[in-house]
Amino acid sequence: MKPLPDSLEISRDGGEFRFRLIFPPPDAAPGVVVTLTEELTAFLEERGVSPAGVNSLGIAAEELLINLSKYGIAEHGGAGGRDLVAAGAVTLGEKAITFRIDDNSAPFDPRGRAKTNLSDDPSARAVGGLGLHMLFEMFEDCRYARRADGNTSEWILRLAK
Amino acid sequence: MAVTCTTTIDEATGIPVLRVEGRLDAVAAADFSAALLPLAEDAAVKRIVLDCGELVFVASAGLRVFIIAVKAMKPRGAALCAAAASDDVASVFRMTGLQTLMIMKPTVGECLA
Repeated sequence: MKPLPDSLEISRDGGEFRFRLIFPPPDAAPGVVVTLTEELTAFLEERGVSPAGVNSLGIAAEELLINLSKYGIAEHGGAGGRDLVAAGAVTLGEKAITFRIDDNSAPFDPRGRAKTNLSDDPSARAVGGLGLHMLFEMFEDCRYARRADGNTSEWILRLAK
Repeated sequence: MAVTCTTTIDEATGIPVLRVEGRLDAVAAADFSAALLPLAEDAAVKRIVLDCGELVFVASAGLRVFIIAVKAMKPRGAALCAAAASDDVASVFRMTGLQTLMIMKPTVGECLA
């Protein structure tokens, strides 16, 4: 296992993978997010999660954290001058896997996203907007709550019987 | 695990075959873009085959590169053909509508035919 960057803390406790990430500047954030995603992938594979489940959770980690690094500061006023921080957990249950993420950014409810253009006309296709679209396709449920100091979202992936 | 992109030219057809191995994530998308987009923008190229047999993960950063490539190729009638995608990668292509923008085949040979 390669050493983690200073901005990233990870712990594993049975069926739970926890993380805390203090975002570096936007140009350095993808590297840290990818490291976290790779650690999560290894955790899930070690615990026998299906390849499809591993894929969905890896995509969720990358999309949600990259989105936060890009837009948490630039478009939503960020964390009010504080470090932008995301913490969360992936919890393995008997019937579902839950991915919870808390951040201290300005309000952002993923359920209110704009509809993604999936036109088969390339000239009409937007290049972005695919990340959240994939999550809503892959996960059965998304819960969101605005806290006084940030956002909490929970993504529920039901396991096949 | 990063992504490795290797381009070869099929001797029989002259079609470029770009083999993509590893994880196409937010970091690796830049390498994929550097390998694919010059081919996509080359007016002499009528088809590009992407060998996805060893591609294990695609996030939206990688999908954006596919879409940019198709946008560059389609106006001149050129096509992108993805071969040998795993179930997980093919599922991502389907749920994001990429399968309607490019050709998907089980093997590289079928993309070259």
